[in-house]
Amino acid sequence: MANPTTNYGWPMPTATDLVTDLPADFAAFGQPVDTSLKALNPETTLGDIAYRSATANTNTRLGIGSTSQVLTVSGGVPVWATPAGGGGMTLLASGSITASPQTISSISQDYKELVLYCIDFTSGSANSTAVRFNSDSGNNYYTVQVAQNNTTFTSGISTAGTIATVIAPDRGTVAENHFVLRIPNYTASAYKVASAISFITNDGNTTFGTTNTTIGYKSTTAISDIQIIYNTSGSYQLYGVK
Amino acid sequence: MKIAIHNATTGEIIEREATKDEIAQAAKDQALVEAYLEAADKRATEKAALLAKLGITEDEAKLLLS
Repeated sequence: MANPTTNYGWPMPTATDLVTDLPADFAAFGQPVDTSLKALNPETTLGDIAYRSATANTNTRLGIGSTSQVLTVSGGVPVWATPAGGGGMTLLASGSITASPQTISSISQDYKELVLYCIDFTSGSANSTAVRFNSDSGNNYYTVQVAQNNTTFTSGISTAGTIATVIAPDRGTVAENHFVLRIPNYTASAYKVASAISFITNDGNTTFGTTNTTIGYKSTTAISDIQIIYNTSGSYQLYGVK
Repeated sequence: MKIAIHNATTGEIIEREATKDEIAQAAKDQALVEAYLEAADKRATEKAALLAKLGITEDEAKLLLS
Protein backbone atom coordinates (compact mmCIF):
# COMPACT_ATOMS: atom_id res chain seq x y z
CA MET A 1 0.00 0.00 0.00
CA ALA A 2 1.24 3.45 -0.85
CA ASN A 3 2.31 5.61 2.06
CA PRO A 4 0.67 8.04 2.39
CA THR A 5 -2.50 6.42 0.92
CA THR A 6 -3.22 7.07 -2.73
CA ASN A 7 -6.63 8.75 -2.59
CA TYR A 8 -6.75 10.58 0.70
CA GLY A 9 -3.07 10.95 1.65
CA TRP A 10 -3.42 9.37 5.06
CA PRO A 11 0.08 8.79 6.62
CA MET A 12 0.78 5.17 7.57
CA PRO A 13 3.38 3.80 10.03
CA THR A 14 6.60 2.82 8.32
CA ALA A 15 8.60 -0.41 8.67
CA THR A 16 11.26 1.38 10.68
CA ASP A 17 8.88 2.88 13.22
CA LEU A 18 9.35 1.62 16.74
CA VAL A 19 6.52 -0.04 18.65
CA THR A 20 6.68 2.89 21.06
CA ASP A 21 5.83 5.16 18.16
CA LEU A 22 2.47 3.41 17.59
CA PRO A 23 0.29 5.80 19.66
CA ALA A 24 1.70 8.78 17.76
CA ASP A 25 1.39 6.89 14.45
CA PHE A 26 -2.31 6.15 15.15
CA ALA A 27 -2.88 9.80 15.99
CA ALA A 28 -1.15 10.88 12.77
CA PHE A 29 -3.27 8.37 10.80
CA GLY A 30 -6.59 8.58 12.60
CA GLN A 31 -7.17 12.33 12.60
CA PRO A 32 -6.87 12.73 8.79
CA VAL A 33 -9.22 9.73 8.39
CA ASP A 34 -11.76 11.42 10.66
CA THR A 35 -11.37 14.71 8.77
CA SER A 36 -11.78 12.96 5.41
CA LEU A 37 -14.92 11.11 6.48
CA LYS A 38 -16.50 14.29 7.76
CA ALA A 39 -15.65 16.08 4.51
CA LEU A 40 -17.40 13.27 2.61
CA ASN A 41 -20.41 13.20 4.93
CA PRO A 42 -21.22 16.80 5.86
CA GLU A 43 -24.93 16.11 6.60
CA THR A 44 -26.06 17.24 10.02
CA THR A 45 -29.85 16.93 9.99
CA LEU A 46 -32.47 14.35 9.13
CA GLY A 47 -33.15 14.50 5.41
CA ASP A 48 -29.96 16.33 4.47
CA ILE A 49 -28.14 15.16 1.37
CA ALA A 50 -24.55 15.71 0.15
CA TYR A 51 -23.19 16.40 -3.30
CA ARG A 52 -19.72 16.68 -4.81
CA SER A 53 -18.21 20.14 -4.43
CA ALA A 54 -15.57 21.80 -6.60
CA THR A 55 -12.93 20.56 -4.15
CA ALA A 56 -11.80 16.96 -4.47
CA ASN A 57 -12.83 14.66 -1.61
CA THR A 58 -15.05 17.33 -0.11
CA ASN A 59 -18.82 17.19 -0.39
CA THR A 60 -21.29 20.01 0.20
CA ARG A 61 -24.25 19.64 2.52
CA LEU A 62 -27.71 20.40 1.09
CA GLY A 63 -30.21 20.85 3.88
CA ILE A 64 -33.59 19.17 3.58
CA GLY A 65 -36.09 21.21 1.55
CA SER A 66 -39.62 22.20 2.47
CA THR A 67 -42.79 20.17 1.92
CA SER A 68 -43.67 19.84 -1.77
CA GLN A 69 -40.34 21.21 -2.95
CA VAL A 70 -38.51 19.29 -5.64
CA LEU A 71 -34.82 18.79 -6.36
CA THR A 72 -33.63 20.76 -9.36
CA VAL A 73 -30.39 22.30 -10.60
CA SER A 74 -29.33 25.93 -10.36
CA GLY A 75 -25.89 27.25 -11.19
CA GLY A 76 -24.60 23.74 -11.76
CA VAL A 77 -25.49 22.41 -8.33
CA PRO A 78 -28.61 20.74 -6.91
CA VAL A 79 -31.10 22.90 -5.01
CA TRP A 80 -34.55 22.46 -3.58
CA ALA A 81 -37.21 24.57 -5.28
CA THR A 82 -40.97 24.99 -5.29
CA PRO A 83 -42.29 23.62 -8.58
CA ALA A 84 -43.77 26.19 -10.93
CA GLY A 85 -47.53 25.97 -11.23
CA GLY A 86 -48.97 25.12 -14.61
CA GLY A 87 -52.21 23.94 -16.05
CA GLY A 88 -54.03 23.87 -12.78
CA MET A 89 -57.39 25.43 -11.94
CA THR A 90 -57.66 27.81 -9.01
CA LEU A 91 -61.01 28.46 -7.35
CA LEU A 92 -61.54 32.24 -7.38
CA ALA A 93 -65.09 32.45 -6.04
CA SER A 94 -67.94 30.15 -5.14
CA GLY A 95 -71.31 30.45 -3.50
CA SER A 96 -75.04 30.11 -3.79
CA ILE A 97 -77.10 32.13 -6.23
CA THR A 98 -79.26 34.36 -4.09
CA ALA A 99 -80.20 37.19 -6.43
CA SER A 100 -80.38 38.25 -10.04
CA PRO A 101 -78.07 39.58 -11.22
CA GLN A 102 -75.47 37.68 -9.22
CA THR A 103 -72.23 39.51 -9.87
CA ILE A 104 -68.71 38.13 -9.41
CA SER A 105 -66.48 41.20 -9.26
CA SER A 106 -62.76 42.08 -8.92
CA ILE A 107 -61.71 38.97 -10.81
CA SER A 108 -57.96 38.37 -10.81
CA GLN A 109 -56.17 39.17 -14.06
CA ASP A 110 -53.46 36.58 -13.44
CA TYR A 111 -54.88 33.67 -15.44
CA LYS A 112 -55.15 32.61 -19.06
CA GLU A 113 -58.79 31.58 -18.93
CA LEU A 114 -61.87 31.78 -16.73
CA VAL A 115 -64.21 28.82 -16.25
CA LEU A 116 -67.59 29.43 -14.63
CA TYR A 117 -69.75 26.56 -13.45
CA CYS A 118 -73.41 27.11 -12.60
CA ILE A 119 -74.99 24.03 -11.10
CA ASP A 120 -78.54 23.01 -10.21
CA PHE A 121 -80.23 26.25 -11.16
CA THR A 122 -83.46 27.27 -12.78
CA SER A 123 -84.13 30.54 -14.51
CA GLY A 124 -87.86 30.19 -14.10
CA SER A 125 -90.59 29.81 -16.66
CA ALA A 126 -90.25 33.19 -18.35
CA ASN A 127 -86.52 33.62 -18.70
CA SER A 128 -83.38 32.21 -20.19
CA THR A 129 -80.10 32.35 -18.31
CA ALA A 130 -77.82 35.11 -19.52
CA VAL A 131 -74.48 36.66 -18.67
CA ARG A 132 -73.03 40.15 -18.92
CA PHE A 133 -69.40 41.20 -18.61
CA ASN A 134 -68.04 44.27 -16.80
CA SER A 135 -71.63 45.48 -16.22
CA ASP A 136 -71.45 46.51 -19.86
CA SER A 137 -75.01 47.01 -21.10
CA GLY A 138 -73.88 48.16 -24.54
CA ASN A 139 -74.94 46.41 -27.71
CA ASN A 140 -71.77 44.31 -27.64
CA TYR A 141 -72.86 40.69 -27.34
CA TYR A 142 -73.13 38.40 -30.36
CA THR A 143 -74.54 34.99 -29.60
CA VAL A 144 -75.00 31.89 -31.69
CA GLN A 145 -76.75 28.87 -30.21
CA VAL A 146 -77.38 25.35 -31.34
CA ALA A 147 -79.86 23.51 -29.18
CA GLN A 148 -81.39 20.12 -28.84
CA ASN A 149 -84.52 19.11 -26.96
CA ASN A 150 -84.96 15.42 -26.21
CA THR A 151 -84.21 13.83 -29.58
CA THR A 152 -85.23 16.88 -31.58
CA PHE A 153 -82.65 19.22 -33.03
CA THR A 154 -83.67 22.82 -32.47
CA SER A 155 -82.39 25.03 -35.20
CA GLY A 156 -79.76 27.54 -34.32
CA ILE A 157 -80.52 31.00 -33.01
CA SER A 158 -78.35 34.02 -33.63
CA THR A 159 -78.72 37.21 -31.61
CA ALA A 160 -76.93 40.49 -31.11
CA GLY A 161 -77.76 42.56 -28.10
CA THR A 162 -76.97 44.01 -24.72
CA ILE A 163 -76.85 40.66 -22.97
CA ALA A 164 -75.60 37.17 -23.84
CA THR A 165 -78.03 34.31 -23.37
CA VAL A 166 -76.15 31.23 -22.29
CA ILE A 167 -78.70 28.48 -22.65
CA ALA A 168 -81.65 27.80 -24.89
CA PRO A 169 -85.09 28.63 -23.56
CA ASP A 170 -85.49 27.02 -20.20
CA ARG A 171 -89.16 27.10 -19.34
CA GLY A 172 -88.99 24.81 -16.38
CA THR A 173 -88.84 25.66 -12.74
CA VAL A 174 -86.97 22.54 -11.67
CA ALA A 175 -83.50 23.41 -10.42
CA GLU A 176 -81.68 20.76 -12.38
CA ASN A 177 -79.97 22.84 -15.01
CA HIS A 178 -76.24 23.31 -15.43
CA PHE A 179 -73.87 25.25 -17.60
CA VAL A 180 -70.14 25.73 -18.00
CA LEU A 181 -68.90 29.01 -19.44
CA ARG A 182 -65.31 29.32 -20.65
CA ILE A 183 -63.67 32.68 -21.40
CA PRO A 184 -60.15 32.28 -22.78
CA ASN A 185 -57.84 35.27 -23.04
CA TYR A 186 -60.18 37.32 -20.85
CA THR A 187 -57.48 39.88 -19.99
CA ALA A 188 -56.75 40.76 -23.61
CA SER A 189 -57.20 44.29 -24.91
CA ALA A 190 -58.99 42.80 -27.92
CA TYR A 191 -62.47 41.48 -28.65
CA LYS A 192 -63.20 38.26 -26.80
CA VAL A 193 -64.96 35.01 -27.48
CA ALA A 194 -66.57 32.77 -24.90
CA SER A 195 -68.29 29.43 -25.17
CA ALA A 196 -70.87 27.75 -23.03
CA ILE A 197 -72.34 24.29 -22.87
CA SER A 198 -75.49 23.65 -20.93
CA PHE A 199 -77.71 20.81 -19.92
CA ILE A 200 -81.27 21.47 -18.89
CA THR A 201 -84.14 19.37 -17.61
CA ASN A 202 -87.40 21.18 -18.00
CA ASP A 203 -89.66 19.11 -15.89
CA GLY A 204 -87.80 16.93 -13.49
CA ASN A 205 -85.85 14.46 -15.54
CA THR A 206 -88.38 13.66 -18.25
CA THR A 207 -87.43 16.30 -20.81
CA PHE A 208 -83.82 17.07 -21.59
CA GLY A 209 -82.07 19.68 -23.59
CA THR A 210 -78.51 20.62 -24.38
CA THR A 211 -77.19 23.84 -25.84
CA ASN A 212 -73.88 24.93 -27.30
CA THR A 213 -73.41 28.67 -27.28
CA THR A 214 -70.69 30.86 -28.70
CA ILE A 215 -70.51 34.44 -27.48
CA GLY A 216 -68.59 37.19 -29.15
CA TYR A 217 -67.95 40.12 -26.82
CA LYS A 218 -67.07 43.32 -28.64
CA SER A 219 -64.96 45.04 -26.03
CA THR A 220 -61.25 45.72 -25.67
CA THR A 221 -61.52 45.95 -21.87
CA ALA A 222 -60.26 43.02 -19.82
CA ILE A 223 -63.09 41.15 -18.12
CA SER A 224 -63.06 41.74 -14.38
CA ASP A 225 -66.67 41.00 -13.51
CA ILE A 226 -69.35 38.61 -14.66
CA GLN A 227 -73.05 38.94 -14.00
CA ILE A 228 -75.20 35.81 -13.96
CA ILE A 229 -78.72 36.89 -14.83
CA TYR A 230 -82.05 35.13 -14.30
CA ASN A 231 -80.79 32.23 -12.28
CA THR A 232 -82.96 32.03 -9.23
CA SER A 233 -81.27 29.15 -7.47
CA GLY A 234 -78.25 26.89 -7.60
CA SER A 235 -74.59 27.54 -7.04
CA TYR A 236 -71.60 28.93 -8.90
CA GLN A 237 -67.87 28.29 -8.95
CA LEU A 238 -65.46 30.52 -10.84
CA TYR A 239 -62.01 29.11 -11.63
CA GLY A 240 -58.91 30.71 -13.08
CA VAL A 241 -56.83 28.50 -15.36
CA LYS A 242 -53.08 29.05 -15.68
CA MET B 1 -85.37 43.66 -6.30
CA LYS B 2 -82.14 42.39 -4.74
CA ILE B 3 -78.73 42.01 -6.31
CA ALA B 4 -75.66 40.19 -5.01
CA ILE B 5 -72.01 41.04 -5.60
CA HIS B 6 -69.25 38.58 -4.75
CA ASN B 7 -65.82 40.22 -4.66
CA ALA B 8 -63.49 37.50 -5.98
CA THR B 9 -60.43 39.22 -4.50
CA THR B 10 -61.60 39.78 -0.94
CA GLY B 11 -64.28 37.08 -0.77
CA GLU B 12 -66.80 39.63 0.50
CA ILE B 13 -70.40 39.10 -0.60
CA ILE B 14 -72.75 42.07 -0.54
CA GLU B 15 -76.46 41.64 -0.98
CA ARG B 16 -78.44 44.83 -1.37
CA GLU B 17 -81.51 46.38 -2.94
CA ALA B 18 -81.03 47.34 -6.57
CA THR B 19 -80.68 51.01 -7.43
CA LYS B 20 -83.13 52.81 -9.72
CA ASP B 21 -80.68 52.44 -12.65
CA GLU B 22 -80.21 48.73 -11.99
CA ILE B 23 -83.96 48.18 -11.90
CA ALA B 24 -84.29 50.05 -15.19
CA GLN B 25 -81.54 47.91 -16.72
CA ALA B 26 -83.26 44.74 -15.47
CA ALA B 27 -86.47 45.82 -17.18
CA LYS B 28 -84.60 46.36 -20.46
CA ASP B 29 -82.94 42.95 -20.08
CA GLN B 30 -86.31 41.36 -19.40
CA ALA B 31 -87.73 42.83 -22.60
CA LEU B 32 -84.73 41.54 -24.55
CA VAL B 33 -85.04 38.03 -23.17
CA GLU B 34 -88.78 37.98 -23.81
CA ALA B 35 -88.13 38.96 -27.42
CA TYR B 36 -85.51 36.22 -27.64
CA LEU B 37 -87.89 33.61 -26.24
CA GLU B 38 -90.67 34.81 -28.52
CA ALA B 39 -88.36 34.53 -31.53
CA ALA B 40 -87.35 31.02 -30.51
CA ASP B 41 -91.00 30.02 -30.07
CA LYS B 42 -92.00 31.61 -33.34
CA ARG B 43 -89.27 29.79 -35.18
CA ALA B 44 -90.31 26.45 -33.69
CA THR B 45 -93.97 27.10 -34.54
CA GLU B 46 -93.16 28.13 -38.08
CA LYS B 47 -91.02 25.07 -38.53
CA ALA B 48 -93.77 22.76 -37.32
CA ALA B 49 -96.32 24.51 -39.55
CA LEU B 50 -94.09 24.19 -42.60
CA LEU B 51 -93.47 20.50 -41.97
CA ALA B 52 -97.23 19.98 -41.63
CA LYS B 53 -97.86 21.89 -44.84
CA LEU B 54 -95.29 19.81 -46.68
CA GLY B 55 -96.63 16.64 -45.13
CA ILE B 56 -93.19 15.39 -44.14
CA THR B 57 -91.46 14.64 -40.88
CA GLU B 58 -88.47 16.51 -39.54
CA ASP B 59 -86.24 13.53 -40.32
CA GLU B 60 -87.50 13.53 -43.90
CA ALA B 61 -86.79 17.25 -44.13
CA LYS B 62 -83.27 16.63 -42.88
CA LEU B 63 -82.84 13.94 -45.49
CA LEU B 64 -83.87 16.36 -48.21
CA LEU B 65 -81.35 18.92 -47.04
CA SER B 66 -78.47 16.50 -46.52
